[in-house]
This record gives sequence, structure tokens and C-alpha cells, in this order.
Amino acid sequence: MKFEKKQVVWAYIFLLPSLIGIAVFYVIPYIMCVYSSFVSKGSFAGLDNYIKLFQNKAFLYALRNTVIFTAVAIPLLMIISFLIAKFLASFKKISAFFRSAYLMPIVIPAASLIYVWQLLFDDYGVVNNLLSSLGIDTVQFFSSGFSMVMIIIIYIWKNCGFCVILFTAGLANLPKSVHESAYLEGAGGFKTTIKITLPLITPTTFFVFLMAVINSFRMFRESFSLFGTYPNENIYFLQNFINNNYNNFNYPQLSSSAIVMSLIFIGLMLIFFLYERKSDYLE
Amino acid sequence: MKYSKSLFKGILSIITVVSILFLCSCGGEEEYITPNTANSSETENPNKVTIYTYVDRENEDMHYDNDTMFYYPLLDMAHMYNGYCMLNGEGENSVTVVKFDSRDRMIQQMSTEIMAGGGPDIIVLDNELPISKLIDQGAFVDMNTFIENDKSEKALDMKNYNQSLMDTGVYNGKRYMMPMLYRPDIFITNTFLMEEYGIDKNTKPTYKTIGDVFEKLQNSEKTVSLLEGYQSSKEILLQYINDNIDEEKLTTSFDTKEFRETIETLKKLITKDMKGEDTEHSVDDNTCLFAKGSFNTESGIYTPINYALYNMQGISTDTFMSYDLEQVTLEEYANEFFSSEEFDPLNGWENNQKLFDDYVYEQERGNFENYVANSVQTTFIDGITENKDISRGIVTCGFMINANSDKQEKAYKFIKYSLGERMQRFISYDTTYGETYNLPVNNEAFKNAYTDMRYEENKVNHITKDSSFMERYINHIKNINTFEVRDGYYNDKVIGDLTDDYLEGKISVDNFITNLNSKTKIYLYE
Repeated sequence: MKFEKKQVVWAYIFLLPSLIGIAVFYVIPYIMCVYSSFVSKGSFAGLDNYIKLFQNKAFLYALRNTVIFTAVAIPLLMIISFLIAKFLASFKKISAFFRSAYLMPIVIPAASLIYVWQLLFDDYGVVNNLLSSLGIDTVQFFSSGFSMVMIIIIYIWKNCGFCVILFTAGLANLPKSVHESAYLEGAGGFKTTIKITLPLITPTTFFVFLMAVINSFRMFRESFSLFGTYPNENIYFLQNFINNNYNNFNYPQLSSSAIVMSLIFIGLMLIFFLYERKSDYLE
Repeated sequence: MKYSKSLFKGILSIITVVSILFLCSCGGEEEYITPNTANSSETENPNKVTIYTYVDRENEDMHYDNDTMFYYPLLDMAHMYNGYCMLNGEGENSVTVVKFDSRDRMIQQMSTEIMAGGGPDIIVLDNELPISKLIDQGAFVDMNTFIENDKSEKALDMKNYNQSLMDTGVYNGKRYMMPMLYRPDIFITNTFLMEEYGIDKNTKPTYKTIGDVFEKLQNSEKTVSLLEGYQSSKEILLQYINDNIDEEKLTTSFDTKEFRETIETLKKLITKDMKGEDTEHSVDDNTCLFAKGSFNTESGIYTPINYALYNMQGISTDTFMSYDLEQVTLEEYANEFFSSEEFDPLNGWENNQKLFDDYVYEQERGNFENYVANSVQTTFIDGITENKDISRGIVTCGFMINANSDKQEKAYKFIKYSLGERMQRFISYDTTYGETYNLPVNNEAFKNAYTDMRYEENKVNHITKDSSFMERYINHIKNINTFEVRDGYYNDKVIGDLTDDYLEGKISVDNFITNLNSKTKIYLYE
């Protein structure tokens, strides 16, 4: 056997454990999930499960809230992180301190975070006591539309630091010459950012987006701890719907909603991937 | 180098051994098989019908679940049925009960197994399972098919059961659940409290009519609570919430002024003098208005006579038992009896024992009758409902057959046997040791159960008085016209924590109603 061929064989042998793991824990369950989304009470049901799913009001609440959360929280996180990274890039002396400080929320356990949040925002918590003492009407943070705002704030607060680090690294790798020529040509700070910086850091942005999406899935942990299995309808996400259908033994609904959810995120990824390839071409 | 290699090997070996030991110990703690009904080889036998159950380890010997306060007859039922199978040469039909010491672990395992096309053959009506949702998913078998196909002599005749009670297991014409036991929705109170708060024992209380009593009780300076403890009081609130849900139309009436006012009053009553979950009040000493149901763990049914009997501690049930008296007193009476003319050594032991009992009774009669006369005079009223025409019973135990089971016929045989008079009599007697008095669904066993409640003719006048209590009580349970299966999953998993937060004052009434609306809506729509 030739040396190259031998190398390929060895590479596959070393990859095998990972491939088996991925197949057993991801690919096969996903295929099974797709299969059971077309099955109801032991027989093939075609698209019935999907039709029923889109007629289910609870699913529509969950879908609406997940779309709102994804559409608001992820862009907001990326914009805020980028602006902070840009700001830190301009003040290199203090950036090391802030980079560490921004990472703190990631290492704080979810349980402690939830405890503090409850202390602050409960009906009889610190914030409402403060509002009350100032003669302002109290707010039901956990049961009104405000709960979505709270989840978005927690999400941004928790993930911002990590995204800032990624953007900072991306910005640090940009060639200075391109910016210098742009300034010489008379381009302002805003124009340079939009026309030069952003296209050049597209790979970083894509990675940040990927991480933001993954972390948005993880927000279910905080949401679950804060609001329980059945939260109010403003923060009832697809994860809640899937989790509750598991408890209700409703596997057709569980599988079909999981497939819909995965398709949404695969679609999002594809759009961004295509955009990234287009940007590469421009570059 | 050699030294570091051997050190590395040593550490690796220790980690491996510790991991193996840890894994072994995990398995042992979480789940185990009941020694009475199965051993490891039996559970490995795939031909046996399996049932999963949660067993409270602290009360394992008593087969008593501290959470639900229910004396769990399942283990004894399995034991009895397996004995029957062995005697009749039907060992292959016997059942295996798999016990879990964590309810969540049991539900999780059951859920995963059912998802994979397996699971236990028989599923027990449990507080933690969303039964109505499971029925919608087709998780259970229609037992009408078995009833219709059974042409044997021992076929199940549904005429032997209360129709409306058995229909609690019927959904869209299919019999998914077979009720085993139920309890009457009755409150025990005492005549003093009835007069004090203007409750008429002959008028069926509704949430509207009882409102004035609630107000009076709430404003009372006395330390009188609604029920004995926090949990039973909370149940009243949960029941009121349940009564305001229309599951067919998927609507609620939580936004009405009436609902808001009632839950606020209920909250005040529940939290009144309830310092913690351990605080217990009693109808006996007028510290609570109602006692749930019909029971007392020690004295049996909460009748006036039983209060007296229980508190005297010298007399146990409906008759005078001399052996329960203090040893010193008994010895004195024995000496007196042996030296009296009534004692005849030639009369035989049994006759002399009877004579001795009569002798002791005559000596203690005055004390006993005085005690009964001065004791709390208990009475009962119907449970509170929205409509005065409703008198309800709640199904406390029932069985379903898993649709994935390949032993559905065998599972049905166990259920059929459990509905038989013999088993029904046994389990209804068995469950009186819990804090809820459960009644059998089998008509003959039911007749037997209330016959047991009646007192025999005897010398104690007050027992005759007590008899009228029992007659009314029996008539009442005979006239139950509505049977319900409580959605324990909704009460516990969906709104349980929210209700606790509200009662503990952690959230406002507005927040409670908003969340209640929201959670219920999602639960109904899901």
C-alpha cells in the first residue's frame, strides 16, 4: 500500500470512535426522529402530525416566542458585542481588564444567577420594593411581557463577554493597511466599519453567530429554572413544548416539533453560510 | 521515567475501580425489586406481567406513601394474585411489581421505555402522570375488547359495578382505565363548629354559600383554620381551581371577580395559623373547621363514638375490649372477678373470658358513657362544589394496560381478578389504614364495606346514637352522583409550585391569576 493510502486508512481508524459516537448519538436518533414524525399510533400518518402541529395553539405560542427571541436576542447580542469589541480595540490599555470582566457571567452557575434574579425581580423583590418606595407602580416581571425582556437581558449578559473576545480577536487580525487607505480616501469611521471592517470579519461573525445560536438553545436551562415546566405564555419556547410533550408521552408531536425546530436553525445556518461564501468571494 | 509511568498506571487503575464502584452503587440506590413479589430471576422472566410503582422507603413496611397519604395496596394485591395463580396452576400469569424509590426516576424510565416501544404492562393511575394526555396519544388499550371477547365463566360483568363510577375510565366510548377504589368527598366537622359558623348539615355547601362561613372564619379571633394541615387545605384551593376549568371547551373562569374573591378568602383561611407545613389542627379541639373525609389513622372512621374510644385509649372499636385497659387496672378487675361468684372454673376458658369482659364493662360503663357524652360530637357535611346537586367521589386507584405490551391478555386477567369481590374486599379493608378511607368499586364488596361500618347491637347507648351517624354516612356515599379522576399532574407539576408561591405570599394575587391562566391555557392546548 502506498504511504498516502496508508495514511488515509489510519486517519479513518482514528476517526472511527468519533464517527461512531456521532452516528449513535446524533445521526441515528435524528433519522429515528424524522421517521417517528411521520408515524402516529403505530401507523404511517404522512404529514398529519405536522398539520396537527401547526393547528396546535401551544406550538404556535412556542414558535412565535422562539422566533421573537432568536430574531431579537441574537442580533442584539452580536451588535452589542461588536460595539464593545470595537470600543475595547480603541482603548488597548484597559481592554485586558474588561475582557476578563466580561467573561465572568459565563462561569457563574445558572442556579446562583436564578437566585439573584428572583431576589431582584420577584413581585416583592428588590426592584419592586424600590419602585414602590418611589411611588411608582410595581411590575410583574415574571408574568408579564417583561419576562421575555428579562430572558433576553440574561442571554445577552451571559454571552456577551465570550462574543466580545471572539470579535476582539477577529478585529486584531485585520490588516491595518486597508483601514489606513480608507481613511486616506476620506472614509469616516461609520463607513469604514460598514464597508471594510464588517465584510473582513465575516468568518468571525459567522462563528459568533453559530455560538450565539448554540447558546440560545442553552437558555432553556435558565428559563426552566426561573419559570418552570409551564412558564407564562410570553416565554414558552419550543424547548418547553418539546420537553412537555416528552412528559406527556406525545411522541409524534415531540418528533415533528423537534424536526421543525431543527429545520428553522438549519435554515438560519444555511442563509448565513451562503452569505459568508458570498463575502469570501467579495474579499 | 519508569516511576512516572507506574504512577500513571496506578492512578488510572484507581480511577477505573472507583468509576465501576460508583456506577454499581448508583444502580442499587435508584431502583430495586420488591422482595415479596419478585426476585431478580423473576424480573428477568419476560413472560411476567410487570407493574411499576413508587414506594416511600421510610414507610415501606406500612406500604404507605407519605406524599399522597395513601396506603398503597398494590404490593399486597400482587402478592395475593400471585398466590391465586400458583394455587390454580397459572404461574405464568403472575405479576411482578418493580419498586422505585424516586417517583421522578420511575416516570422518566417509564417514559423512555414507552417511547422505545416498551414499558410496564400495567400502568397505575398515578398522581404524576397526565392520564388524559396519555389517553389522547393512544398509550392504553381499550379494555372493552377484552370484556367482549371473554366468554369464560369468570368473565367480568359490568352490572356488578357502579356504572357512572366505572365510566370515569371511558373516553370516546373506549374503556382505557379500570377504577379500583374511590373516596367520598366529605368533610367531618363537629356540631359546636357547625352552630358557631352557621353551617346547616342538611344543606349542600357550595362555594357561594360557604363564602359567608369563610368570611366569618377569616375574621374570627379564634385560632381556627380551614382544614387540619397545609397540604389538605391546599387541596381545597386546587379543587376550586379544577372546578373552574372546562376541559372540553378548553376554557377557564379565572378572570372573573368571583374567582378572585374566593381564592383570596381561601388563601387567608389556609394561611391563617398555618405556620408551616408541619402545623396540624384538629376538629377534635375546635382548631380547624373541617377534617378531610372520614378517617383517622388510629381510630378508623371519625364518628363521635370513635373520638371517645380513641381518646380513652382503653377501648378500641365498636365494642368494649377489656384487654386494652391498663395492666394494673385489669389485674385489679381480674382479682375481683376470680373471687366473685360469676367465675366458674368448670365453665371453660371462652365463657369465662366473656363473663370477665362483661364484668369489666359494668365496672367501666360509667366512665365510658360520661366520656362519650362529654366528648366532641362529630358530624359530616358534603364536600364543597360549584353546584348544589353534585355529590362527588374521587377515584383513588385505577389500572391501565400499556398499548405496547405483548402480554395484554395476562394484564387484563390481573385487572379482572382485582375487580373481583374477594380482592376488592381485601383492598378496601387494607386501605383503611391510610389517611383516606377508600371504597371498593365492586357492588358486593361495597355492601360489605358499609356493613362493616355499622355497629352491632350492643349495650352502649351512645353507640346507637353513633349508628345514626353511620346510617347517614352510608346513605350519603350511596348517593354520590358524580365521580371524578383528579388530574394530579396538572395540580402538582403544572400549578403546584405556583400555588405554593401564592399561599406563601411570594407572589401577588394578580401574578397568581395571570400565571394560572397562562399555565393552564398552555397545558390544555398542548
